Amino acid sequence: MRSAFLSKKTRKGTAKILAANAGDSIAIEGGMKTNKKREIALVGNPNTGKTTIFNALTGLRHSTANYPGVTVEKRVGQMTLSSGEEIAVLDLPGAYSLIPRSLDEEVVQNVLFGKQKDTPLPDLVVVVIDANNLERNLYLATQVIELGLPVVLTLNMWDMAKENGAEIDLEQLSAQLKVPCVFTVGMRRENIRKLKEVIEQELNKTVAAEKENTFQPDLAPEVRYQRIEAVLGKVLRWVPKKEFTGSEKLDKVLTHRFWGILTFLGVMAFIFQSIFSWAQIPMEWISHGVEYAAHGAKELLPAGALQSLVVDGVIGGVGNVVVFLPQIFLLFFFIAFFEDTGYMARAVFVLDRIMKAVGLNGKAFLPLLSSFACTVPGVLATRTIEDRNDRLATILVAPLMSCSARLPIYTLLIAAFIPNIMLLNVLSLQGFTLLGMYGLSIGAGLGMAALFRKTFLKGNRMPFVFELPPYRFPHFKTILATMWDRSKEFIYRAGSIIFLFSIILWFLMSYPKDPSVEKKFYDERQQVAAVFQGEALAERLDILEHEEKNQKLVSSYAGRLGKIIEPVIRPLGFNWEIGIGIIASFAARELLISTLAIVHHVRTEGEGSATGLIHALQQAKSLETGQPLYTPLVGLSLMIFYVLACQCFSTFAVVKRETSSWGWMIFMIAYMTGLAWTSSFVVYQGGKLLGFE
Amino acid sequence: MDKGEMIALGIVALAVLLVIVYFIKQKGGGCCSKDCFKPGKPPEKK
Repeated sequence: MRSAFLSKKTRKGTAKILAANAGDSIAIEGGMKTNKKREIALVGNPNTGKTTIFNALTGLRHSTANYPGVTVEKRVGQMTLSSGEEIAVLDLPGAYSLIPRSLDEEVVQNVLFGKQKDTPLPDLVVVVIDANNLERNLYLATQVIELGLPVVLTLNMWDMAKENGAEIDLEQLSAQLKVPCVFTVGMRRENIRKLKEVIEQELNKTVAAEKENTFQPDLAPEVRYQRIEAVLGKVLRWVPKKEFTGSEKLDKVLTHRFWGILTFLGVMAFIFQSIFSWAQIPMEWISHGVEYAAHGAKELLPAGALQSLVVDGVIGGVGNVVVFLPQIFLLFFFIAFFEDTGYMARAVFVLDRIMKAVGLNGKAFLPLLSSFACTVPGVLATRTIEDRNDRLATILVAPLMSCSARLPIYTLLIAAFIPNIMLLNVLSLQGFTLLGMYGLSIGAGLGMAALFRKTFLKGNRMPFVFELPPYRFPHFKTILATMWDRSKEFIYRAGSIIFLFSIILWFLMSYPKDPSVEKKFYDERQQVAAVFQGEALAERLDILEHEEKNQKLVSSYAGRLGKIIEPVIRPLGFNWEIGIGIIASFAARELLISTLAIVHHVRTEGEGSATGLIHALQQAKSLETGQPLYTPLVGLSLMIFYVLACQCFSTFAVVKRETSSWGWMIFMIAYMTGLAWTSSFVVYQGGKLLGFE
Repeated sequence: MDKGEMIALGIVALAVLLVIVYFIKQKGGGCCSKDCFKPGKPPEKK
């Protein structure tokens, strides 16, 4: 019987780790069992679908895309063998070779050499190979095999390789390399069961010849490639494919200089229009759920601070954000849909011309696209850009892309202040405004990139070569999984940071208490109760409650803070209530909605919470002047501010770490804040001069 | 201060604590060395 301990013991350079593991390992009959969880590692070149295989094996969901560099961190998941044993699965960063030329490759080398401090040597390595590019992928695979570790090769994207005319003899490949080989189509979860079986068989082999570590770090690349060519000569045959495919015909239109851009704009307009019209019904369902929860909490808790915290703070704060979830789902559904069909790659091709014009590297597209979900992974994805100035320019403009946290703010303000009228019977004004916000975000990003590249981040643009994948019929299971991957961050934020800050905001808006205000309203309630009865009494008490909350808010900590920053934001049309929301947005942008809901005491009863907040914004009047607090012009100015302002602590942190510089982080905050303030100022003051309200 | 208000303020204190922990624990996942600017490349055939 073979144990992980025994197999590790023979390898060079791992004695220290083995000594530590030796005491932990307990071998028992009927298979390898230790009290230490066994681990397998997934290794492969970037862009081989490694993360998709990882998801398929572990059931975990991570974002995957057909572009290089998505996997930049080690990820760990769990896989259950048919025996019921749980094993750990490590998703290692993409690497081309075991001779590291980057930080990612160094991590891979460290793990496979048993030198990574926090990771034991894996019990088995699954090398994921792109079946379309065997020669290049086998470079790493042969190195891993030479290490002497148990290895399983999986030839992924098998379907595409066949479509491209590749005929691969798997049995022969297995015989040549002396390791089991399995084909897979990760995106469709095809043959994953077989892969799991082979992994389990290899892990549980009772007798296995111990392999020596024959890895030669000094072997010249051309010698290794010669060996690979010799193997491929026996296993790979290319069958000529058809001359002219439907894909190519479609590409003539979709990548056309003019029609391509027009199609792209049409697709985007369709997405934003749908976000408004299709999300309406599920949003109402969630609204009613929030309303039901608030009603239940009011019934359950006695009137007082605790009831106010739960109903106004938690349910009002979180509920008003969660209501926008269907719109987030829809946005990511469409992005995943167009990625899966192969259209997104054509959009990259079309937009690359524009990116080229502003001096951005074509590889900047993926980081910028990722930033539409969240800036943090977008900034991390810039690691694929080789040139320092290219990368810095991309990092600095990534936060200008409208992340998912901004979407609820746009849709709330648009629903409140932009009339729902149709333009040319095709696109609604609301959908057009939303499209405009995203257009502004892209335009500002490209404009700033052009400015940076022409001034202090000068340099030549690196050529960008990429392959257009064939068009595919969308696989809805994959699309839904991708949509869920990207949307769950929004849900996680609602359940964590939004939840916690809603509680803190409630406190800041309710304290310190002013006994004189409480006494004044107590007396007034007594007087009203003596005069009115029934419905009239309830109505009067309601008005008094509203007025009391308003007066308390003015003297609260948050109210005072809002008043302090009001002079700075007043020229933009913003009042001190919005000021509170802007400050809260540094924790999470969605908190503007929570703040406005708490500030305006949105009732979660009677009408849905989203509708209630829209109504509250439309009706809100200044406590001092009695004038409407929000006008369409204020709404537009606020939206533009949120498109351009950098207000996210997580973004600050990741930019600081990725640039290793406080200076670049401060520069980013400063230029974005300046741009946001100036743009809102121009729009608001210009709009007023032109007679808009 | 009634019992309900004491509980409410206790929840607020806990929320503040959790927010601090949240921000301390947040992983940037980044890298600070100059190597960050050097992604890997396939070994070239000569």
